[in-house]
Amino acid sequence: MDRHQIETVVLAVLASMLKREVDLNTSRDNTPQWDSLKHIEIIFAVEDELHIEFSEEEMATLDSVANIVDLAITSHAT
Amino acid sequence: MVDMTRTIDCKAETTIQTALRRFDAQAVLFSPRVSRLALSELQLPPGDRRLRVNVWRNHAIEALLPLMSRYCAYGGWQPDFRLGDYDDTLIFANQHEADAELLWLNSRRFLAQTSFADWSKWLEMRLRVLRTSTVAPIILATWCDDEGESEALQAIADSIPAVFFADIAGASAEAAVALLDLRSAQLAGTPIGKAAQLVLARKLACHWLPATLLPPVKAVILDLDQTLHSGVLGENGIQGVQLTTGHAAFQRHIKSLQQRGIFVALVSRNERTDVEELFTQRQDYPLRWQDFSAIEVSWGDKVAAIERIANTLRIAPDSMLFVDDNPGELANVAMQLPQMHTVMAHTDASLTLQVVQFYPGLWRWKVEADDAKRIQDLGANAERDALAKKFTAPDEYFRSLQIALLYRYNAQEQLSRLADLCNKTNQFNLALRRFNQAELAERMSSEDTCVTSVQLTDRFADSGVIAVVVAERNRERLVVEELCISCRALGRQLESTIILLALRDMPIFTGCREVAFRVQHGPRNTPALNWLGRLLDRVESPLPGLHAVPAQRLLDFVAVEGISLRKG
Repeated sequence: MDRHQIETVVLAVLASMLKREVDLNTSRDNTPQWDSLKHIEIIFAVEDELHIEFSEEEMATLDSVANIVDLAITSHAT
Repeated sequence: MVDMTRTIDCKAETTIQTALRRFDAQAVLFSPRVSRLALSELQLPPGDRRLRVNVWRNHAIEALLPLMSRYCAYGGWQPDFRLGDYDDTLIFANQHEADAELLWLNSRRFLAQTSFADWSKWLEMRLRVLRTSTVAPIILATWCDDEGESEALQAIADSIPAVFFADIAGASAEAAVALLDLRSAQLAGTPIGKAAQLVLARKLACHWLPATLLPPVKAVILDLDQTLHSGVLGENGIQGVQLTTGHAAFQRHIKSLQQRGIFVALVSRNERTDVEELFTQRQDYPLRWQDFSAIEVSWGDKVAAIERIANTLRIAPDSMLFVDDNPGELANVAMQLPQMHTVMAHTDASLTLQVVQFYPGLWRWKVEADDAKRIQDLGANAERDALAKKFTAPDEYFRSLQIALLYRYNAQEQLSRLADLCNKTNQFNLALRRFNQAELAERMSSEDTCVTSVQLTDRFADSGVIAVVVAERNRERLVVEELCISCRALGRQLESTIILLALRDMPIFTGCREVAFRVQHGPRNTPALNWLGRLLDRVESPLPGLHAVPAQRLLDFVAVEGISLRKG
C-alpha cells in the first residue's frame, strides 16, 4: 500500500469512529471527541484494516492522523 | 385531526425499514472475521427494551461497550450499564437495583497475589454476599489458566442460585482467537486482546446477557428453498437442489437445537408431496421429515401458516424465530407479526448458520433433562388424541393413559427448571411474577413459604416438571404468589388436580382458613384466569389482585379418578 492508500484508510477509520469530518491535521489536541476510549477503538480498527500491529511503545505516540499514518507506513514496510 | 391511515402506513413503513436494516446488518455482525470499522458504521435503531446491568470490575470493559451496542440493537434491546469503580476487593459499593449483575474480573490480578484455591474460595464468599443483597441474576465473567480451574468456577456458580459462569477463555478458544494481548493492556485498561474483545462483545450481547435477561426463543420456523438447500425444488427437482457444505452445517445445527428442546418447524410454498418426497429421497440431508414438529407446505399465505404453527406448538409468535431467504416475505411477517423474531437466510449458508447460532434468546446457559422431553411430548399428542376418542368417561381415559403426577416440595435440585417454568410460561401463569432461581431458592428455604413442583408422565411420554406453585403463609391465609403450568400439560383437564393438591399438601397449608390467589393480567394468560374464574364460581375473569377461596374448598376437592398421585 502506498502513502495515499494508507491515509485514505486512516481517515476513513477516524471519520467513522469519531462521527465527524477529519483531515490530515486532526489530532487528539484539536478533537475533543478523540478521548481515551475512542483512541483504543481507532488504533485497533487501523490495525485491522491495514493488517499491521503497533508495538506498545508506538501505541503511546499515536495521537494524530499524521503520526498514525507515518507509523502505519513504517509498519507496513517491515 | 390525525390521519390514522397515514399513521398506520408510517408505522408499517418504519417496521419494514427496521427489519430490512437488520437483515443488511447480518453480514457485518456475524461475519467470520468481524470488522470494527464496518461495525462502527452500522446504523441500527436502538432496541425498545431497556435493561439495567451493574458491572463490578477490576479491569476495563469500556472497549467492548460500543461493539456490544450494535449486537444489542440487532437483538431489539438496549443495555444500561452502570460501571463501578475498579475494585479488587469486590465490596459492591453504591449498589443500585438492576436486572443483572455482571462481575467482569481479570483473574491475573488476583492470581499474581494468591493461589487459585484461595482466590476461588474468596470469590465464592463474595458471590454469596452479592447473592444476599440482590435477587437479580449474576454473571461471573472471568478466565482461568486451565480446564480444571474453569470447572471449579463452574461448580461454584452452580452451587449458588441464579449465578452463571461466563468462561471468557473458553469463548475465545472456541472462536480460535488469543484471549490476551499484553501489548495493548495498559492503553485499553485490560489484557484482553482486540480480537477477543470482538468475540466477547458478541458473546455477551448475543448469548450471555440475553440468556439471563430476555425471554427465550422456543421454536425455529424454516423456509425450505434457498434456506435449507440451494436452489428451488419446484424448478430444480429433488436431485437438482444442492446441499452445500454450508447448508449441511446449517441443517446439523438446526437438528442440534431440536435436541436441546427447541421446536423446529417447516413453512414452504411448494407441493406438500414434493417436499415429503424430497426428505425421503435425499438421505444426505441431516434434517429428516419427522424432525419437524409442525409442517406447513402450501401455496397460501406464510403469515397464516406461521400462525397455525404457533397454534400447533402452543407457542406465541414472540417466542419463535422465522428464517427465510426472501426479504419481502420476512418484512411481511415482521409487519403482520411484529413481535416475531426474523432472520434472513443468505446464499452462503455458513453465514445463516452464524446468525442463527448467535441469535439472541436461542442460546441457553444449561440444557435441562426436561428440555429434550418437550419435542417427544408434543409428538405424543396425536396418540393421546386418538386414545381420547375411544373413551367417553374421563377416569377411563386417564387410566388408559396411565397418567401419574409426582409432587415435590422445595426441591433445590429443580431450581433451574422451576425458574425456567416461571419465565417461559405465558398462558397458564396466574401472577406473572417471573421468579428467578435466587427468588425461588429464598422461598424454598423460608419457613413461611413453599415451592411445589409437579411432574407429569403417561404411557406415551415423560413430560418432566410441568408445574410450579409458590405460596406464602400469612397468618391463617395461604397466598399463592405464583402458579404456572406448562402449555404441554394443558387440555387434559388436570389443572385443578395439579394445583389444588399441590397447595393442599404444602406443610404451610395446615391450619389455614383460606387460600388467596394473586392475579395479574398479561397478554396471554387467559387460560389461567379462566381456571381461577371457574374455581371462584364466576363468569367474568378475575381482576388483578388477590382472590380468596375457603381452605375447606381444597380439603373437599376430589382428584379425578384414574390418576396415580405420588409425593417425592
